[in-house]
Amino acid sequence: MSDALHFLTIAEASRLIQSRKLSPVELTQAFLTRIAAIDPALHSYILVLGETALAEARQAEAEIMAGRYIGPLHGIPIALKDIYCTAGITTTAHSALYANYVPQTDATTVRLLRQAGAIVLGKAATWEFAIGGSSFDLPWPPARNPWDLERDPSGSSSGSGAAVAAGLCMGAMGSDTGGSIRGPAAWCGIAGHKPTYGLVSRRGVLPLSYSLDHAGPMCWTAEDCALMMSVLAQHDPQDPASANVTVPDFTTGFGGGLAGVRIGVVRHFFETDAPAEPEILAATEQTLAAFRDLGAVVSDVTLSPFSFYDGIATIISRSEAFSIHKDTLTASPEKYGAYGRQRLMAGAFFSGTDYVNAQRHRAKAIADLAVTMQDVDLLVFPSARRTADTLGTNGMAAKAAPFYNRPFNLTGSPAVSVCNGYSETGMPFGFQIGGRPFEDDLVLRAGDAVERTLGTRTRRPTLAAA
Amino acid sequence: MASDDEDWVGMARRAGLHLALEQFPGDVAVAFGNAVAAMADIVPPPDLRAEPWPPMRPVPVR
Repeated sequence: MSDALHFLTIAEASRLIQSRKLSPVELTQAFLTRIAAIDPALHSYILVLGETALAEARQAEAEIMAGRYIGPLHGIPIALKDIYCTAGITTTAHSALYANYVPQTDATTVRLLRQAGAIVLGKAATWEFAIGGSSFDLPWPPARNPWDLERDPSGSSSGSGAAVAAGLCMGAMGSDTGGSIRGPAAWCGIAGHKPTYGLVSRRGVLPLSYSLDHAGPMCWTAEDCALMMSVLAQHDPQDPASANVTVPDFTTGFGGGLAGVRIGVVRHFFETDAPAEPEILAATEQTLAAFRDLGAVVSDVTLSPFSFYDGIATIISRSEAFSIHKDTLTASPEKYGAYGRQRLMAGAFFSGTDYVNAQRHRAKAIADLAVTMQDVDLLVFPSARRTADTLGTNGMAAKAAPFYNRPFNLTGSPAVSVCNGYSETGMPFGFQIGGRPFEDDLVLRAGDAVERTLGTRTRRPTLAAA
Repeated sequence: MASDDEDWVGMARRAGLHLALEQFPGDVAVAFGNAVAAMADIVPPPDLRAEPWPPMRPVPVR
């Protein structure tokens, strides 16, 4: 366990808070002090809510001291990607267009987190409307990678990933339309969970692509993601895609083995379709060996080529996103950053037939994956082909995009990215674990097993105060 | 999807992107390039009569 309050995990801090050995006020103040010292160089927050966070912490402390401890997020400081609507607090989407937008109600997830006693430290940087890129032509600077400030944290949940890794919050909410939770998780060396589509409400999260958007947690560990999921996974009648299913117990089974779990390695993704760098290939083999040591049965599986999923996801996401942004893009293109314009306007060039055919491919991809997952319980591959790009290189625009994330957006399957090692230069790797729909608990337990077996959670980025 | 320059400018205009074409022609061109790249990865679906995802579902009136 870390001596520094800001590097405690949620699991560690919640035990201390429950036993009244740690004050939520002391904890929140420690984060606010660290944000003031570190974030001027990191730019992970758009807005810090110091006064209200301390007021929420004082309330949590009073409740706990009165014997009303309500669960593992009580008194835990978190951040929200700035596309999560917050009542009475600006929700900017990191865009000039929404710079003064103040929602009247909280997103469902924000309400659930507040009800669970979480302390909202602030609103985290994102890519413009969760799509734009690490841009320097927006009202706020892009977040930087805490492992190397000259590098990109990835996105679009860039501030959430950077803040968690840097110890500027204990957990954060991200969103994932094409990998925007798992990409920053990989490049920032944290755990990021894209839940099964429909398991976590999207209501009050500014939409990008309604059939691909997922809301989910980002934390230092998979176990912490599970603790957040235990609060977040609830049916929401106000989200038309919300699933009314029995929610698994996310909080049990951590620290154990994976005896008998059948793991399918989608080797062609990272060896032939879009080859990963040698260091990442080596870390992947080490992780597969760890799975075998834990009792899992590891075998190779074959899916459609990676580029097939990537193409379908682009057609669907850009078409849906353009439909949302068309009015403002046509009337005021100058109010967007260049990356946002480029990515959103791509949707103007797909026909109705292109979109419908992409959805046909998607239906088949979902059916094919269901067949594959009759023989395996989990699918695994690296999260990224390479470690973090230099900030400003816009690697996402290249044909050889750096991540392997989009198949699970198309199929709606749960997927977590966890840290499975570090490069020679000290940059983190990410390893992705996907599961069957609504088996998020197994996915997170496997992620926890990777972290514990490989011992990747003891290293933190070193950041000097600005 | 269009395949030559004249067509994509026309498509952008039909989509209402006149201002973007005037002010940010390079960005519109990049957007078109992204769309072309995505389509290059796709073959026609094997069954052109298949239901796309998600299937139509009427909502019962309670």
